[in-house]
Amino acid sequence: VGSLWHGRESYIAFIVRSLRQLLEIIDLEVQGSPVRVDGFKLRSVPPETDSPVHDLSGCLDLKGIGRFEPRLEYIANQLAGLLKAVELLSAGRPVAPTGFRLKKLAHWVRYDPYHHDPYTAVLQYLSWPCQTRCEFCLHQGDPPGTYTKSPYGWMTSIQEIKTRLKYWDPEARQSLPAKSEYNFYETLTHPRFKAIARAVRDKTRRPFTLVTSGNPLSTEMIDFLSSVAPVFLGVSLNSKSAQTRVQLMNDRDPVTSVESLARLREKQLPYFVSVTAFDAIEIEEIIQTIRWADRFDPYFIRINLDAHTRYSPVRRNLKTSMAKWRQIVASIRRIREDVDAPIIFQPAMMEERFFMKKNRLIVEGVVKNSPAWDAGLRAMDEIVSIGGIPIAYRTHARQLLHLHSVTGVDGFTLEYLRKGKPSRVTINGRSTSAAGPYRSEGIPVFQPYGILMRAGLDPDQLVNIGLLAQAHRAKKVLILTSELVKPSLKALIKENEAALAGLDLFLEVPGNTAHFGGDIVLGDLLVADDFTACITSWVRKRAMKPDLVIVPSTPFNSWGRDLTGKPYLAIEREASIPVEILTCERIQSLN
Amino acid sequence: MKKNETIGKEGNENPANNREEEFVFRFDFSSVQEESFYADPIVELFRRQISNLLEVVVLMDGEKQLKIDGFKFLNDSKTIYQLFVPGISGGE
Repeated sequence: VGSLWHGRESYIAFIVRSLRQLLEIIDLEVQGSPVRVDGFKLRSVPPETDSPVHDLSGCLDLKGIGRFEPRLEYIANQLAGLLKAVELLSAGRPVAPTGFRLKKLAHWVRYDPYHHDPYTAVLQYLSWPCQTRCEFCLHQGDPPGTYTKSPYGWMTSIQEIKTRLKYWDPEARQSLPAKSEYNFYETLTHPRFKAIARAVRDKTRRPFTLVTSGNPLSTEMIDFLSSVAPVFLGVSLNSKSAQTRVQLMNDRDPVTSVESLARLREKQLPYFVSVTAFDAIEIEEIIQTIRWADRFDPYFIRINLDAHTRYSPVRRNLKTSMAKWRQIVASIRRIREDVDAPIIFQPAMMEERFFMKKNRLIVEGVVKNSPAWDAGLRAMDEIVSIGGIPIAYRTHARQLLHLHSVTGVDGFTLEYLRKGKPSRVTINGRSTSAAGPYRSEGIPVFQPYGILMRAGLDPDQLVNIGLLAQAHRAKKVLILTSELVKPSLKALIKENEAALAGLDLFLEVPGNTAHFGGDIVLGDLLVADDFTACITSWVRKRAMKPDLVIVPSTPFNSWGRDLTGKPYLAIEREASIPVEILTCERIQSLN
Repeated sequence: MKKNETIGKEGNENPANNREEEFVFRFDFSSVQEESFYADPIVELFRRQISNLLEVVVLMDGEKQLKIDGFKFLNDSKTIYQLFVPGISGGE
């Protein structure tokens, strides 16, 4: 054994302790069967690195689940490290473990702030192949190794779903480690959907948020969904034309999908309509679809500005896409006043980027027959004060409106500008008509009094940048942002220069090239390698190093892992510059 | 022991009535990174143990976060082994 090691006994004791500790929480496996290990031999040379191909069936994707519970990856890495140094024995015979299994699942139940939500904790695992096959489906552009392209398969066994359900505590927000985040497949088509939905409903009264192509929304399914209410549906309508749905979505039953809106209204099941502005759909057809859908009182209509990764069959460059998105947003903004349902765009900041004053309190939409609607507030009104308190940023307005709504504040004044002209309304929370679609409860979307307003930037973030710079005694600070957020951040810094006095600030946008590529502009979809590449290139171009780099928190989860599972700490190691995370809200989120 | 089963027929999923075996959370080693920095298996073992640990915890000195990039053995205070980039400094 290694020549430097004089204390062989200490080394052996270390291995014994490490193995014993690991074997308290896991069992080792050989080719899927548990194996009992009772000894080991030290290796003088590491074993061959080529491990034989073995059966992965029933195994979970360690890389996927490791994003949410990296201690599992830690265990695997520790074991792999130990196996390079020792040969394990079982009853005196060598064994070569190929994997491990957890001894007690109860050890792994943990708090997660989002695991009060039935979809996030359980229902998402019912994802099942769609009955439609959309030409613009984002899963066609999944990079290799992601959820749907994993060699472990992407469908979850019923036994796993039931086990996850068993360990889920919605009130404590505790559950087993998640294994996916961006999972938008159908759940309504799963053969066990109804039974699982009923069992989930037995555990919580929280609303189910379910997205569907519309195809499974038969009368019988809508009746079932009503029986497990509250349910908030997202119907991927895309076009009111049955012919377009057949052509672009390969919908074999477009009539059921299109007619589902009338049935949902009749059953008073709240839903939103989603329309993807795909190249092959003319803008006029999108506008007709919006006007038509509005007749059935959707909660809102969401226009998805479609983007494609480098793996997608659709190829576009960012410049072309930006021009196209701008044109779509401009055309749809023109009809907003004619439509009752709020129209919102995805990505959220796109409308602000193209057409709006930055960081203002613009109301994105007002839900029909809500208190704000009844008071006369409408989309594009700019709030200036709430209850007599002047408000300058959306984050502050959201906090105050939320506080008012949860504490039952009623009859407060809201001052706003409409096309630049000052006006005021009194919001009376008890004055809602029963006509719908507005509901004060059971809608998992931020909508106090029916006002839809997504998160934004605020000066507190600049204060935090200042504090981070101070902690590092940094003067030159490089802030990495996204194509969508940069103009708003620039405006925020300009309006609040005093907050960052004495600092040399530089803003830079990393290209989304390491993972997704294509015309993806969302900062939330950047990965650690994008940030590292951006810093390296910035340093090379400017021939100087910043004292500190600040990256947004939103591409990283609570463990600081990006979509590929890489920790943000790697950016600092690889770029050799101090890196800090700035906590930001996910602007895409509707809640 | 049987492996995890897949989809069955529609039934009562109420966990209170569920007497079935739990799903076993199983993992294989195939996705574990195999890259070794040091030929000496002892040094490499400790490098991996420490670098793995630093992927899930931040070491602290009082209130101060420590940023660690290497280690040395207590019986050889001159040789420093890098954790994330192959290399040795100090010593011979």
